[in-house]
Amino acid sequence: MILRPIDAKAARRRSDLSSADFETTTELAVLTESIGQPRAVEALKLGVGIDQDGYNIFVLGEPATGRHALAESFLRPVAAARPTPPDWCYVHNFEDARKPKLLALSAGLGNRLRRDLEKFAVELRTVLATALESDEYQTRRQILDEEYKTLQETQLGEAEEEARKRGLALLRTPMGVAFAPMKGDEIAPPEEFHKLSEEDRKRIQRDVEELQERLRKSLEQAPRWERERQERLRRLNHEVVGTVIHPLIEELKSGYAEHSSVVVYLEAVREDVIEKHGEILQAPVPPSAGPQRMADLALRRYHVNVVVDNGATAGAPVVYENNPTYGNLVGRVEHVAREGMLTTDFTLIKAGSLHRANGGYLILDARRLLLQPFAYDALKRALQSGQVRIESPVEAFSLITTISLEPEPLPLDVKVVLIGEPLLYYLLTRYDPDFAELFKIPADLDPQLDRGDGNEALYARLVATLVKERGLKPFDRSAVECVLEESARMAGDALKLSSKVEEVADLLRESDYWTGQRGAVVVTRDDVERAVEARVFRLDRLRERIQEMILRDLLYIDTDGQRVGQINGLSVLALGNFLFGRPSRITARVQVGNGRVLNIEREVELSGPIHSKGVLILAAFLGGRYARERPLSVNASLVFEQSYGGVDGDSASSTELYALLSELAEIPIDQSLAVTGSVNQHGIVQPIGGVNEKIEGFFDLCRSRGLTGRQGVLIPQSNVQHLMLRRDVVAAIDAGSFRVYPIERIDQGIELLTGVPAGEPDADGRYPEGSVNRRVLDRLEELSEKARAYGTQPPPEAPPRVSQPQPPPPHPPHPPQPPQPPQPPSPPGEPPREPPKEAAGR
Amino acid sequence: MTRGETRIRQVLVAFGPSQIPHDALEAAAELASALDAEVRALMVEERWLEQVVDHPVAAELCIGSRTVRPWNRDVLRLELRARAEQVRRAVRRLAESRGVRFSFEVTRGEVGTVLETAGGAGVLTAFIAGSRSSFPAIERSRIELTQVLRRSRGFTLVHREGRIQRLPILVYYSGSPSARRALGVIGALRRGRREEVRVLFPPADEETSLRLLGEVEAWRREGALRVVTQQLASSRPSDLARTLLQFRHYLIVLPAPAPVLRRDIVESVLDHASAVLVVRA
Repeated sequence: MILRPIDAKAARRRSDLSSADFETTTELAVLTESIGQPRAVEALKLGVGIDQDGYNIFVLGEPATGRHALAESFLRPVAAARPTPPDWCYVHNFEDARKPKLLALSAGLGNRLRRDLEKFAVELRTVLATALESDEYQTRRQILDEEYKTLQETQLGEAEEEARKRGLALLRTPMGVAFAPMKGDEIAPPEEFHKLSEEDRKRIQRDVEELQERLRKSLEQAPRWERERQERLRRLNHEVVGTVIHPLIEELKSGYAEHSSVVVYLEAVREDVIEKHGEILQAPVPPSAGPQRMADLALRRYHVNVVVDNGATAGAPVVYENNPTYGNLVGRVEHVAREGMLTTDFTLIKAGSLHRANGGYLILDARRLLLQPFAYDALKRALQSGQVRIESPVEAFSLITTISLEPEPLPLDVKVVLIGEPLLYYLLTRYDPDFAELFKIPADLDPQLDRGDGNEALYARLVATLVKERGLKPFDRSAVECVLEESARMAGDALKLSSKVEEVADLLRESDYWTGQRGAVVVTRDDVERAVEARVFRLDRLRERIQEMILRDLLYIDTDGQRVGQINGLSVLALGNFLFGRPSRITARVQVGNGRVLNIEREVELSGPIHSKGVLILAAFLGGRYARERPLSVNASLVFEQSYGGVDGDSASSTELYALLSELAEIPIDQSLAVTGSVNQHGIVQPIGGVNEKIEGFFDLCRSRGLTGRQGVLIPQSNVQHLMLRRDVVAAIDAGSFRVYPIERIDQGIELLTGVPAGEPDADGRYPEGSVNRRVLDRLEELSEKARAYGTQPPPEAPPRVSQPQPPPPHPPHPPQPPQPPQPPSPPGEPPREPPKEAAGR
Repeated sequence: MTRGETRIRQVLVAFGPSQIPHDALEAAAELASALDAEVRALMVEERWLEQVVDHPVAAELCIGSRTVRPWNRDVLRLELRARAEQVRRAVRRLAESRGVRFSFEVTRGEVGTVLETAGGAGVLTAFIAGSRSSFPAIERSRIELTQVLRRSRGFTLVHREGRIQRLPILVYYSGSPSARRALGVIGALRRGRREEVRVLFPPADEETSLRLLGEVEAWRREGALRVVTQQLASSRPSDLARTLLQFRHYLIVLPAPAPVLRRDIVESVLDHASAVLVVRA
């Protein structure tokens, strides 16, 4: 069986835009539509088109995939065609100041009403002062006051007259009046009074008491007189003030005749001015005019707080709330400190983004929303109730009790577009019953685009658009082609392009920088490649360190020679967005036993479940191929040598199987080759992730030691379509100094690794003499004989098994550990392209 | 005529403890604001109160609560102290709202006497008579006031009704130093306002009349005032009183001394005029 390595063309699928008619991106039209996201676009269309409760949208996508741009670019034209929603204003509630009223006015009229009311308030003081200082009013008021003052004085005068007749004087005292006997025109001194006969003294005493009682009774009418006076004064004021403000109010009303709520409000203003004109006139005059003037006066209650001004809005608003705190979302009531007290009124009501987006669309980041206390609940409440109620969460939870406002809720008509990672969507769908009711439309963004179907040409326009939007130097055709190839590398698939627009944009910016560094004005392929290299250089310190340790023989990896039971495996490490391959030595040992395959990583709890599964599968393959007729009398152990961290993923299962077969057959494996790929129970090699990084990782090591022409990597056949290898690797492949072998079956791989035919079974099921399979069977039989001789043969029906976890043994001394990168979390939302632990792939 | 001669630095209001004189204080603050002067409020604890309080039959009928309660010297002291505090607060509140300086004192004696002695150059003593009434306190005040008007120094205002700043002004101008000073004060009161000022001249020969007219004309030009002049046909006090009463809704400005401050003229005018300002050089 001759296995051919792939050629350079298959190692990296080059982009070819020669059919596109452009020299640089300046000639390409800006891309206005999305590319490669038909599912998401269709969902957005449906979500926007259904104007019913609950048809809010959740845009699922990985960060940097242009989620916001897609949502906004889709929503803006739709919003522009919709009617502009009204302005919303809070005004004083004259019946209950704690519950400010909400007014809706046609777009742009809110501020006009505010200015009109400001002007009204300024004029009001003058008009009231003129009216209430007019001779007519003063005279009428004087008459009124005199009338009632005279009533009291008349009573006092009558009392005085009666007292005079009885020889007494009526005198004003600090608190009222007092009667005293007179002598002539003067008050009789006390000693004179004592000289009087007892009868006269008693008479005077009696007269005084009688007059006091009579006066007291007549004065009891005073409160009634005062009430009458107040009522008449109120009527007078009503008449005078009502008359003078009538033209002002009517003029205001005429400007808002189509807004009945404003007319009602203006009528309330009229009544309030009539009622409160005294306070208005007594309020101190601030030094300057304008809004501040309103802020400090009794006139403040005629202020109009325009919380939503759509005067400059064309169509429906599209609002993106970057910081969706509770307050920023539903609005808040601010307080100011006055004389040590926190006070507030309707002018301190601040709108939230729900207010501003009302009648249109609100875009929110789901993660940010969920991270803010109370914000998600508040959003749900608003959507469920169809209104936005401004209330402090602190008060809602009774943490602090203070006087605050209960502004009239805003009727809500908004389409909310949440943007978040798929995991968030799935978690919310599963754990929040409200979520599915409120966000019925998922718009699922694919992190990858197909590279065919003209998408490369569209992607070139996307590149051109990004270049123009960000003010970068134009990219020539070769540069764009290189960007496309890098995009495919980002996607990890030669047939795909990355939809992570922001990552592409970063590459464009950095390429632009290098162009500038060489004093050029057009970005070329070299600039893009330099940007890629520079990015790798910035991030690959750890990779270099590991390679250095291998070259210094601190980490044992052979790249030539042959070894029995030893093979080079490949894993992928992730440092943020930077992935790189790392070769690992995998060894296998066998001894007489009862069919147990010992996964040493698992014994010490360093094996992830997928890795353990892979080992079970290879054990099943062994059993299926070599122990169909008899039990396995062998115990095998597998280990990732010098691995001090966790191992997961099944991409090494074929590698482990090769090591085991080598050990069983006692045939050495060529150490100039490395292997990746998972295997199933039938010995079929299955695809894995991170194939490019794995190949490049082994290539880098081999190149450092010197390429011999024998070195290479065995990869699953089905991974060939993913190959987007670095140019230097491709060049080595092209030169025949490095090879990549596509493998479909285990037998292909073992032949390549050992140089010995695997062997096909004949009609009796026997393998050819000298083949790998035959030697494995022979060895198994030999071990079985030994086992029988020692009486360790397990019952025939017992299947091969993987050892169960045992308490970890004491740690033996080991050489210096290579640095371990931080372990990234599994990418959410879909099966992981790379497992979270060291050995990557599936 | 220099500003120093007509400068009023203080508006003095004196009153008894029987009630807080809101009207008087309002008028005083208004004047002080117009004249850039200080309000000086004097609460006078009248001596006769102590005579009455010691009387065996003395009892006080409180008008507000309409209750009768025994009255003695201790109660009176407390009441006076409380009233003084109330007035002090009222004065301060008013002065602050008008933006004028103020002082407040409590003294003992008679209101008239206090006003008479406290007046002087640069001081305008304001006496707010309130409504016309036969109430003995008013009557007593009327007697005191007549004396004050005839004998006090500086500026003495008797205010009965209307806002001083808005009342039209009538001034009797005889060319005397007091009359010239009166013109100065009127100029200050009418600064920036357009209400007319009526000037009465006494009967005089042609030369004197022309001189008086010339002085008034110069004053009118200096203050940019609207002025109407009228010469009296008779110098008899009764005719003067009758003429003055035709302008009882004016602020009547009278220079001291005679003939305008004859007792019968003063009493006649005081009984009917909205406000009277007597100016003594």
